[in-house]
Amino acid sequence: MEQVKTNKKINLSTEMTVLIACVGLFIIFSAIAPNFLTVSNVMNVFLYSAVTGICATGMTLVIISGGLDISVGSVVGLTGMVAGLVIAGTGNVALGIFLALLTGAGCGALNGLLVTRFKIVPIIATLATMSIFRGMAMLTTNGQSQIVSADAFKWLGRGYLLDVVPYCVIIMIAMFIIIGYVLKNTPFGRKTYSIGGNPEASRLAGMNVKGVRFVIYILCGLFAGLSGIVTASQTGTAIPAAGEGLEMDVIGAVVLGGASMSGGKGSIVGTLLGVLIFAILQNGLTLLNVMSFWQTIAKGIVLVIAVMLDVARGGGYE
Amino acid sequence: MESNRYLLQMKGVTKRFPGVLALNNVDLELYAGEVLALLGENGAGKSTLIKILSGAYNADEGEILIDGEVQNYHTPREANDQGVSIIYQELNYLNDLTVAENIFLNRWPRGKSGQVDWKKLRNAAREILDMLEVDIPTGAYMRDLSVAEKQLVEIAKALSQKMKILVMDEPTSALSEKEAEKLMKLVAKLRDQGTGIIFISHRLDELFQIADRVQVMRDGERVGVVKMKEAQREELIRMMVGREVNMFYPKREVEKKQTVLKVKGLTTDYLKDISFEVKAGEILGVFGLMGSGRTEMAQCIFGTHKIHSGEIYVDGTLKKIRKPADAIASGIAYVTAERKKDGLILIQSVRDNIMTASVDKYSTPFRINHKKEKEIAVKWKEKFAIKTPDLNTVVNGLSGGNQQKVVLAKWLATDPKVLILNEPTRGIDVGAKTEIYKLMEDFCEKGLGVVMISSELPEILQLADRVMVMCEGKATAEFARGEMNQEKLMHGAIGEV
Repeated sequence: MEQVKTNKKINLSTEMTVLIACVGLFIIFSAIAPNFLTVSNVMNVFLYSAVTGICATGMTLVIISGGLDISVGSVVGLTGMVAGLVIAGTGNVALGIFLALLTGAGCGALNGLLVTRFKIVPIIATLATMSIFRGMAMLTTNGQSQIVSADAFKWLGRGYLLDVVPYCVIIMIAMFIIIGYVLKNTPFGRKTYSIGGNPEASRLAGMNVKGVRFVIYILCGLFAGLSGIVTASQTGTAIPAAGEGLEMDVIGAVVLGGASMSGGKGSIVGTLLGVLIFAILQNGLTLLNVMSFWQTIAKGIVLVIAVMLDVARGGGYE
Repeated sequence: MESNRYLLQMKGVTKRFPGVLALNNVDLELYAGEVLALLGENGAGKSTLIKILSGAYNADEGEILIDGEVQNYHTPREANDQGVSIIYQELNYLNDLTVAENIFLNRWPRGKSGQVDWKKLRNAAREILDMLEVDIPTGAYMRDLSVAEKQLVEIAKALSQKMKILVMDEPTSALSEKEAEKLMKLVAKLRDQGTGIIFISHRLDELFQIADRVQVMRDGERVGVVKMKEAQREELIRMMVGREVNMFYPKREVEKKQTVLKVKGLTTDYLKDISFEVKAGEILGVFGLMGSGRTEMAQCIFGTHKIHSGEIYVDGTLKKIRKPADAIASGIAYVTAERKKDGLILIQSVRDNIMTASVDKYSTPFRINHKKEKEIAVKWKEKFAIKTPDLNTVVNGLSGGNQQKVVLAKWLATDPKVLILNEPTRGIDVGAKTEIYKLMEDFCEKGLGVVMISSELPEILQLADRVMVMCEGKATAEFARGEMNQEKLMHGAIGEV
């Protein structure tokens, strides 16, 4: 019985720890960083987190189901190029966005196929496709950037609702609400947790383990595609190298949010907080004029501390 | 006098697990240069005793003497240093290393600067294999060897250390007759060289052929030790099963109705032409020892094992079952033998676990009916008296009995017509066992057909309306409730009908 009690306490503290860390960081920077606590800067924090955040919703599904997708950064690059080239070529923004999303979903489907049908370990399968998708992105323009000047495309990344809230932040929040709902209130979400917790028991309980995993990889690719579009819109340029290293930020945020790399555990609120922690850290340190190299180190340290806390909660690598 | 001294003596060994007394004051004596057979049903305590000898478990009470000296080891490594070598049923080897590397695993001969001396390694391995008259090349990879050859390598590995006592746990169960014969010769040779050998097997013929004495165990106790020359089959079987069946739980009479499950001519690589029927309200016991094919049979019916031929009918309708989802849709539920491995999602709550097999049942694809699910979880929790602080408690922390109740609740929540149980009370304390038996009968009364696979005789005798006995993939016998007894079942299970 004692063990039961401790387990419960642990569950409660998972999201709470992240929340406390996030609020704590926010308060510290408000106190010491000049101009941190202003509406426009807080919006900046959100704006900065949009690309990582949108991508992290899909990654949360993947990691909870016991998988991993390190190709998302390359998908961002490739889908950005598709959107940019189509829009620059045809002037049709809707078509560009549609084809970019389709490309993202296609990339996800390939990952899903490799993992479920061909039984390749997720990290290896997506390591391979990471390379393939990046190469494809480079090939589209032989490595050149593509300016996208269509006004209708700008609002996505650079437009503000009522001149205060960036549209891409609204998109991100909407994504978090939708995925949060799916995880909590739909059979699909329940299966995601079950499959990550014990795939064999889930299969014996009649779940279509491979089917669910396949769909999850498609969603992850699709959302990475959306991130790619937002990235291109934010910079006004489709860059083949866009999103390089993004996968690590995304995975880091999901893990920071309390998800377990062995599957079955994680929450969308945790992921959002994880994304925000990284964004606040970066923003605050920039305002304090800390060199970006040091910021990178700080990010790594935060991740290590977070995971050490997770290990203290039980489990860990042996 | 000297020749009379025991090589190994285990005295008053007692081992408790939560809720179970696995070994109760057990003795064991072994002379140098003899083969001692260890005989008993599954769960009699043989494995626990061996694990204590090997240092994998530590005894709660009792002591181990080797060559008259009290031993004080606590790990397999330390036991090994004292000359105890165990060859488990599940062999321990590294597939991607060579035979020579495996024999000297982590004890590779070193050269001057600390590098592995490959030539010395090969020669040493060759020497040992030659001693065993085994002609496996030392450079062959383990993965390319047959099971029998792998076993020989394990023996060579044991020999390469200062082996005094060799324990073999069902060494012939995976071997062909010819291979088994060869192994027997080797065992005899080692014995003649002065090794003390403990040989665990269910095959009586084998034991009569190789063993000098046999120690029979039952329910965690030593029943007796007999010289093999003077032993008789009948007597041994009686010793193995001869407990008085505890009738504290009388069988309830339930009316049998129409046939709910009919299996016809089920055949796989291992199973041969298995057929049986189960009626609504009936408990069909399936008795068999390890390797009898009982689990494979259940897997076939549940769609997780490939069938060569055979038909499965539920309520008189032929069902095509290719995956668990098909079986569940046909009204079949299957409680596996290892609840922690494939029955539960340990990091999830009681409630989520109860709903695992009915996720889609009460919900639309876009909305889980939380209220309905809660009602169902509460209902099952109360019906099964699952002891848990609340429904959101993680199942990992519950006792074995309560975990098993959660698994049963999960399957009964799917409203099955047939419930297949594999070792339904393994590792559960007596109180919870009785509760689970009572629940099974409750559901029989409501028209459920039950197939109960078990290697525990008392359980089968108490609960089953009929029993099908299996041995090496075949159904060897079938008894109605009135005509079954322990000896008959055990005869069938060791293939001596």
